[in-house]
Amino acid sequence: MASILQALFDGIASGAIYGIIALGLSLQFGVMKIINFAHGSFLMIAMYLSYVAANSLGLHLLAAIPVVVAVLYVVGLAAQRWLIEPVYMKESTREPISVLIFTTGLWIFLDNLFLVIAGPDYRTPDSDWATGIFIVGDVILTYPQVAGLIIAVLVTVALVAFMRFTRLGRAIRATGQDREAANVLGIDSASVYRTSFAIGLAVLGVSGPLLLASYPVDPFIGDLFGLRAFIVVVLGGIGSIGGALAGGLLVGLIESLGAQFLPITYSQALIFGVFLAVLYFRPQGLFGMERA
Amino acid sequence: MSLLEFRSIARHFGGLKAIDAVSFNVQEGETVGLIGPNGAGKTTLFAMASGFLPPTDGQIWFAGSRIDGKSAPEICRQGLVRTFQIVRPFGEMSVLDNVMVGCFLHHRDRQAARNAAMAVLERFDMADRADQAAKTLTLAKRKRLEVAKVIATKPKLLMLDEVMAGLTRVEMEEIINLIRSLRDDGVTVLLVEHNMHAVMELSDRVVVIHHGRKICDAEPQVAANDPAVVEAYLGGDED
Amino acid sequence: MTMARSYWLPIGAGIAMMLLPLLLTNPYALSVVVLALLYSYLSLSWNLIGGIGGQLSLGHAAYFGIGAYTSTVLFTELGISPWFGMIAGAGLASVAAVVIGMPCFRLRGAYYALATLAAAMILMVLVENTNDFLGGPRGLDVRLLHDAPLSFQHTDKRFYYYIILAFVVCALLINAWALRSRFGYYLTAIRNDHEAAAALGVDAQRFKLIAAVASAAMTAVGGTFYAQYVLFIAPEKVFGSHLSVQIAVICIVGGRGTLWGPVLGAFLLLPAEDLARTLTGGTPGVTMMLYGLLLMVVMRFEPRGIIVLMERALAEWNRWKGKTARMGKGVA
Repeated sequence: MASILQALFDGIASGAIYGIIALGLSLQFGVMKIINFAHGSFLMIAMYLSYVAANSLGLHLLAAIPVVVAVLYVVGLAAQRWLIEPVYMKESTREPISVLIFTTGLWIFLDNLFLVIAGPDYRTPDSDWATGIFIVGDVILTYPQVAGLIIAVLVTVALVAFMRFTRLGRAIRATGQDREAANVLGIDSASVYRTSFAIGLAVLGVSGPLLLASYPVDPFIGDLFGLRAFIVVVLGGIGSIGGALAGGLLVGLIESLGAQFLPITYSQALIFGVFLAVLYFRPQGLFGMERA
Repeated sequence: MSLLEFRSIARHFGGLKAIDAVSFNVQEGETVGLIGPNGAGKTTLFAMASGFLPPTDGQIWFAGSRIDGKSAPEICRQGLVRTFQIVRPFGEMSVLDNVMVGCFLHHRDRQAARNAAMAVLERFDMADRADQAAKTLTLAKRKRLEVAKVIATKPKLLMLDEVMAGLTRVEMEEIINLIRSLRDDGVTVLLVEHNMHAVMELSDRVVVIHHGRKICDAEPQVAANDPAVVEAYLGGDED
Repeated sequence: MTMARSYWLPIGAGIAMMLLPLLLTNPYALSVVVLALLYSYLSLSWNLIGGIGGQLSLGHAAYFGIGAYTSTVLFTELGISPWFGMIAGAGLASVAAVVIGMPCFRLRGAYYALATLAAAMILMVLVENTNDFLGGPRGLDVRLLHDAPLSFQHTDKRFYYYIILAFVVCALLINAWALRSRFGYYLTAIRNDHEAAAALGVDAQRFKLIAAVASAAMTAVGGTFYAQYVLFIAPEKVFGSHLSVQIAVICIVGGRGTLWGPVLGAFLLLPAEDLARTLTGGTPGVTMMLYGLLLMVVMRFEPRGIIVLMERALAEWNRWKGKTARMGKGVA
């Protein structure tokens, strides 16, 4: 019974992080209707940045969050302006697969670039904080897990508030719903796209230091988390911010509880199995506002 | 003979009743104009009839069989086709190839489809542009192509969605003549149109939709003088 | 939609390819060409669903692996000739293609891409964890029979050369037919605008599935060929993402949706990959970086692939030829 409780908590804690990772993706897709397959690679970059911040700059992992967020925001602006936008504009059919292929290329390139630069070794940060724990009854809660939960809720609330109450947020939502109408109202959609993409990566950046506290970083760490993010987005429903968090929690729980009953090597396959199952039975997800 | 019949058709979006118990029919050989202020629900009716949107309630019958809820390709195969308000050519394909896609419905062989497509293009006065990429056409030509594509499928009933929008006076007259000649060939036409001149010129009958309900179903001159219709246009949305 | 009007180039190339083994006595050189032909074949197979069909499959290794393992297991356990095992593999791969494609083809392209990725990974994990029959992570050896053409084996490499050449010719013919036929037109229309296509009576789901099944079956056949050529298969190699990426990138960079693009891609990229590997002394990740970079460059500057650049160059040359010819003849 104790181990089930632990598994439950672990699932919620990791699910919260998955939610943050998926948030950025959901936002980007909700606004621009493009899917960035390099999302996981940017997470990997965020984690390497966090590693450098912790080990070379001596920052506390939590203090690294604003740094990584800022860097990823700038990276996002640049990536949208110089990489994705030109490809998106060239596409003349109604089914923009070019961006999909392009971001696949970016994903492969970034992952392997870091393999060449940083080597295949796993790296863990110098952080005493990362190993700290609370004990509540029979359940062990690590500092990063608790921090992750709190931050996930904060970020979600902040993002929802931003989208609903600020001018920029409303402009983003308007562009996402009807780009041409938004244009007529004087909203520059290109600039909105750049900002949305940047915000999406910035939110992703929040999860970098948090993940690094629990997982060592290697060039391919982004793959599994990135793929999990896509599954979360499908589960939670595209474009729904609350759905991303809920979907994340669900995936975290399935994984964690599943590991109680299945051997570990199957757990990766389990996630994909869940993904395929969701596609079969409920492609619009739990809170989806539109069909996938 | 009733070719297309809407029987108490309804479409709700959450609490919004986009279409509320609308019934009318289109007889074979007729040209019926479907008019009404903006947002009245006309394109929704088209979407339901052509299989792009399922009705919330009611039935749609075409050529003696029920079609509501069927898929778009199936309905097209039965002879009911529609054009899109915002034209959708296959941009990367040539004008000829665009029409060939329509021709392949009845001609499996490539050469046969090609010949049929050339014939359609001749008919539509676009044969000289056969090899041009569709995405490079002007709006007026795209609208022609849009109609050419669906005519290639040899339909019994053609639903035209605001085909006049965005055209100059001259271009409009050309399209009106085109539609007249299609009608003379025996195609039944249901057209959604804002342009009153076109509607009056072409329609044998008009059906007026306002706030998702049918408020009039009569000859154009009669409808134009119907007080409910006048009120709808003057009182509510207007173009 | 147009095919090369002059047939002499392909026919000349075909004859040259048939005579090649007589000229290439170096067995290493021959094996290089066999590999290039194999990847041409795999790329041409991918082209049906990825190029003409416009669906991004990032897990084609799944079908390759199914082909390799099915024929090998049937041969090892039941003594069935890999020629028949090849057909069984193609059948299984077709089923897999339907299972993956059916839920995904109704949805956006990204879901199909992810599902194909997922499928290949699931299969790899399953095989790696199954030691009975499937050999687990160590892989399976194909029983050595030396010279047994009826069991798809020979010591003379030219046996394999002619077989893969025949496969490539078949794949070219299938692609050529697809491009000219109603099937090809419909898929192109679907690629451009699937709703507008539906309005003309085109059932997108059906045609995408047909393309996916054909592509999967063909790829599985390639898997059997590989198993019989190398006589050893391992999950990482035949189900791995490296192979999936190679196949997709070769077709896209070469020219997806065209007839010769995939072949051009294979003959350009495989030597390039080799060169990159040699230049960097085999540093891991370099070749994949190259593939990723090429993908980005092509999609940014010429999404239709390198073949389009070559066609343009050829057209320029013809025009220049025509101009000088006219000049030579005096006033035209």
